[in-house]
Amino acid sequence: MSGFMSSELIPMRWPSQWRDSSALQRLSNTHINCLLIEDSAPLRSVVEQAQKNGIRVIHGTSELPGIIVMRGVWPGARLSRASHPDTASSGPTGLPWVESNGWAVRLAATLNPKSTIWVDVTPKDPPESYPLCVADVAAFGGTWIISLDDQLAAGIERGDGASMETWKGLIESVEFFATHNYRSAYVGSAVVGVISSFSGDNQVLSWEVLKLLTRTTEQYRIIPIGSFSANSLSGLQAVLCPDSDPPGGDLRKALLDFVQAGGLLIMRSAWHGMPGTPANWDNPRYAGHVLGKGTIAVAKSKDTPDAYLIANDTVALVSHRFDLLRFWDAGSLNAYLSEAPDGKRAVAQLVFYAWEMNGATAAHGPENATVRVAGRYRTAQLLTFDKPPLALGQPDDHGIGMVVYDDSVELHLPPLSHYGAVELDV
Amino acid sequence: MNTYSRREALKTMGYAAVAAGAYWNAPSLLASPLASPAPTAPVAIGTCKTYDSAELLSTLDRMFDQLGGLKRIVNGKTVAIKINCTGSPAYRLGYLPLGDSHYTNPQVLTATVHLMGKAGAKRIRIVESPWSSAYPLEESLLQADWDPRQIASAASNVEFENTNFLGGGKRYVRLAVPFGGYLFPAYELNHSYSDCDAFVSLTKMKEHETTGFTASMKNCFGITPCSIYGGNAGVDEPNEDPKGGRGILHGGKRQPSKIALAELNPTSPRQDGYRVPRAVVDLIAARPVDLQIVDGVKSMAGGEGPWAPGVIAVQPGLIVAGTNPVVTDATCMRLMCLDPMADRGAHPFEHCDNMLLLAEQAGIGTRDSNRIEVIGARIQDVAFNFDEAQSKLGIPDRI
Repeated sequence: MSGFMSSELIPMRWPSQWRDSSALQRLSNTHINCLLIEDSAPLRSVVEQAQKNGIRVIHGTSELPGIIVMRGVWPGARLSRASHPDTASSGPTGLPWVESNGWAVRLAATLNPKSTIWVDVTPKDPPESYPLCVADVAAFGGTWIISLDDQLAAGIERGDGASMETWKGLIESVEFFATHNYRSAYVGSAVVGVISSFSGDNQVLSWEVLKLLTRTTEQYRIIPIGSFSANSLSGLQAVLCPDSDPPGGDLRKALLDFVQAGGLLIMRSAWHGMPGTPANWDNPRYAGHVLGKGTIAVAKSKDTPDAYLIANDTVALVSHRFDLLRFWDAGSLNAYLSEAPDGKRAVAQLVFYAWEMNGATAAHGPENATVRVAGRYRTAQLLTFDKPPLALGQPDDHGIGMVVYDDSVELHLPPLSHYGAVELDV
Repeated sequence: MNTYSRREALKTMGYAAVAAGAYWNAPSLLASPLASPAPTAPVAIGTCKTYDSAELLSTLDRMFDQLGGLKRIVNGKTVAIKINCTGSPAYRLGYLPLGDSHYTNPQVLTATVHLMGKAGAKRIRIVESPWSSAYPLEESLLQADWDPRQIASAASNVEFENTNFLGGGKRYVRLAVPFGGYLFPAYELNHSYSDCDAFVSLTKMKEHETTGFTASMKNCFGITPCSIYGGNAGVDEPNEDPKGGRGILHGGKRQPSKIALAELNPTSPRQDGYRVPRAVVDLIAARPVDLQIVDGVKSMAGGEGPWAPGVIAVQPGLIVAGTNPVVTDATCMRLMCLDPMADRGAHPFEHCDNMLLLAEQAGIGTRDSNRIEVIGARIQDVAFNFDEAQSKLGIPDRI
């Protein structure tokens, strides 16, 4: 791995049918600089030529120093729902079920802060969108091991027009993230922190909570118990502890201090001798305790809770008043807001899986999404894979632009495909 | 109101035809004359071009005075204001705020709350059954970009309740339909609808895919809890985590949770064009609407929400208020250049029964313009043609 920082590698799984080393020309003028390739005789000339071209060649992903390789899911929405308000919904959220990797990438990166996260997922048949897979992983700080389905690989080999267009779109999306390295320059913004061991008996529920919290577009911080520090709670409105045992020791003290100062603590299990006094509220699933300026909410039921309810109850308990991002007509999306350490710049990355309107669902982004971003920003620029950057100023004749309020900005976005990044400056 | 004769007429004339599936070809079914004319009440029409608070306050204040004063309706009373938040708060018409197209406008609500406070309302509870939610109503309003704190600070003792489920009550309340009911003899509702001394429907002036038109009457369809009448309502007990719309009232594929009384006639048509107008009339009879405020300052033409095909934003610049929901809505229809006297099959009731006709026949209020006193602006001077606006500016479906 010498010569490359692991974070600089952009890997691609080499299609086994591309046996002629001339196929490497397809990588010229791209950012792909690492090939995962079979160690077999028919591909030996490709390997040799790739190494001559300065491309890193890897024969397996089992032991790559500085890199965590995780199995992923092919991202997208299950398109089975009509959206008229009076029709039945197929999923518990009333929205299409979305497969995505972002939450898992963030968790892996948090648990392995010195590692680069690669996601290994092969295209499902037929793959709906390669750029979506690139964005689904990269927007949350990971890198997809580029992998082509056999039909596409064959089509590119033949020079087929549609396949070349798909390849071009894929390369554009890879290039975008190679040249916009938000993960190193920005830090995730958050309203709620999720504290868990994320392992053992707590793994299933805590992972599912992260997955479903992502779907609410609530901005959260992952806080592994083992790496809790004094700064872990800074800037948060609330903390969620989904583990079966309540936090103990220094963590308990830090959480009580957080509540005393006005924070909200949401717990699955109560401490013996709950501090504070019972709160006068009427919540069907949580009992409240007032402590100092804040509140502790403890689940009433001792049964194994429903992760969907935990995620959505958390959003409601925290309140939409503190939304950092709020969406209209955005369809099924995941969103990740991060800001520069000096607080003067932020970027909202939006990954769109499906759009619903007029009883139909489509596997693309929204036509006219609106995003409210909390904060006092003055300028905004929309970046996408395939179009020049668009400065969002006063709304134009089509309504596209930015409206500035005292405490937020409202971004009226043009039609989007699967990804958009809005860079904001104060 | 002669409930006995109405019920008997339906029994003898209608149910047999309904059971035989002949309803949709039998226009005379609804033509049974009332023994006495349905009541009437004055309606105030105000023109208001913006949601500027000063303009709204002066317009509404004047209109309430024209109706005899807000004091006689709310002074010393607990008031429930049913707002209209149809569909998910995550849907907009283009980039417009929801209150400029299909939701009640929050500024109209704030002004109304303020004036009610000044008129001596003891307590004001904002009620709605927001889409697919059993969370506090304020949360849905925040998602729509409203500021509940601004509304709450417009008067003393202002509170919010999500009536899509049991909410803050200990039990549901059963409100009987005084004339016996078209669809159900009684409805199980959130306690807020019996707690209030005065009930207000504060809504938007719109067309509607299912009922042709929607204003103060149709707004009351949303007082039914989806925990009992929704698509995923519990069978035996209410489902206190309701999702989706009111499938039981729309399509009638199943009966509501057993806590509620079953339908009067389970063999009646299962079409929503038959069922929804009847449910609406049942509901405004079971929970009389003491004051109606219909916001037509800004609205949309072509449907009730952004999901309806071909809808567009419009600015009629109107507000209508009254004390009889049938009379008020008939006036709204005339202001929209729609005919409240139209029968099923005629525009805008091409696919549904005319709920105003049903309400008139139930003895709730008249549609007859000759019996309606209009105060303020004249209809012919300020009417806004919704159909014409849509046909001129209609946009294609977006998928």
